[in-house]
Amino acid sequence: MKLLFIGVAVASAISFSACNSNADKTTDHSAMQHNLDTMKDMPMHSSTTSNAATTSKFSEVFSHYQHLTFALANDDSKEAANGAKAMGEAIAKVDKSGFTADQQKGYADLEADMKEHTEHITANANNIAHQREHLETLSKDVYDLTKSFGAGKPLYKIYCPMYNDNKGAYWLAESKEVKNPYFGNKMLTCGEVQEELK
Amino acid sequence: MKMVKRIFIGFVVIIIVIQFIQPVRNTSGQVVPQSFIDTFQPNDTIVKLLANSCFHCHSNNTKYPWYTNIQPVGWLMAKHINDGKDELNFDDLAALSNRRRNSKFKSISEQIEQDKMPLKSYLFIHRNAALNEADKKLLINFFQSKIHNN
Ligand code: HEC
Ligand SMILES: [Cu+2]
Repeated sequence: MKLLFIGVAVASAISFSACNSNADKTTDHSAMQHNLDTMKDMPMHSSTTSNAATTSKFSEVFSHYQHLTFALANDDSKEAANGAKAMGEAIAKVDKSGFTADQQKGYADLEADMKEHTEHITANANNIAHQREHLETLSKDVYDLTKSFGAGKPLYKIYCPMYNDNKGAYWLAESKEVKNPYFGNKMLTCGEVQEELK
Repeated sequence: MKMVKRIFIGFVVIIIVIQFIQPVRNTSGQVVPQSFIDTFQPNDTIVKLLANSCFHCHSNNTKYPWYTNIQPVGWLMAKHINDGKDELNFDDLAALSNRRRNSKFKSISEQIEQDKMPLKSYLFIHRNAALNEADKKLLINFFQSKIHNN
């Protein structure tokens, strides 16, 4: 009996210690939620919506994407999580009326991928390196989105060859000014305009 | 002293009672994710590595060691499998679009490269699921070779 008890106690000790990784996540989440509430009335938000005057159905998506890249360029992972969350919401709200069958299919694919990346960036407010990994794929989605649907305003594809052990990565920006979201302060100006999108 | 004894007995009773609450098992009857193997053609070594280190939490079929019959170990395992399958399910990969596959393969390579997967808490009890540097390289090269940008 005593032996059984010890066995069970050890087993539960192991599993409780194993639970740690999950426990971290939940606490982060609530901290982030809190952060988000305080963010609501900050000026950044109103300035992003002012761009909505453009004709593109995706202007909200682009402006929150920009919010995200600026935050990462500032090494601010909490703010990046906010931007990604808003971007995810904008993606879900995109008006799909008037899409052809092909466009619907194309957008569904982009939407599923962007949803995953924005969710991971939102959930990793404590892990900026991981946020940046998802930004890389997300930026490819946004690029393809622009290619198929148009941006509604000029967008620049900016490439930095140094990211990820010199494998390189790009992001998109409304201005030619280079503020690298992959390196932040470490190498803020790494990057050059590779392409102009309309 | 009486109090301590009561708490102890209470604890034992709880531990015994929770043994009867077994989580639902993640088993499809199929040992390996066949659609993944048919579509992406990994060689036997890669299948073995993945079966040993990843499929438990990222496919429709988990091999359950005896101690997962002891609660709360089994509950914890069930939670990992649920969360893990949400993120990545090798049984679903073949059905994904090229874009979604690329995302998954990139993420898999990064997780292996940075020793984030298999989960540390899992390695703690499943020592043999650990990947050495050669295994890691083999897997990363395989997944990288499956990333096709159109
Ligand atoms: C004990 C169960 C378990 C094992 C074994 C396991 N994983 Fe995971 N995996 C999880 C869980 C839980 C998550 C989601 C939460 C997290 O990221 O911690 C996850 C997430 C992931 C993700 C998404 C990461 C992200 O955030 O972008 C990838 C990719 C992944 N696993 C790959 C693997 C690979 C490859 C292996 C084998 C080398 C593996 N996993 C082994 C449980 C497991
Ligand atoms: Cu992630």
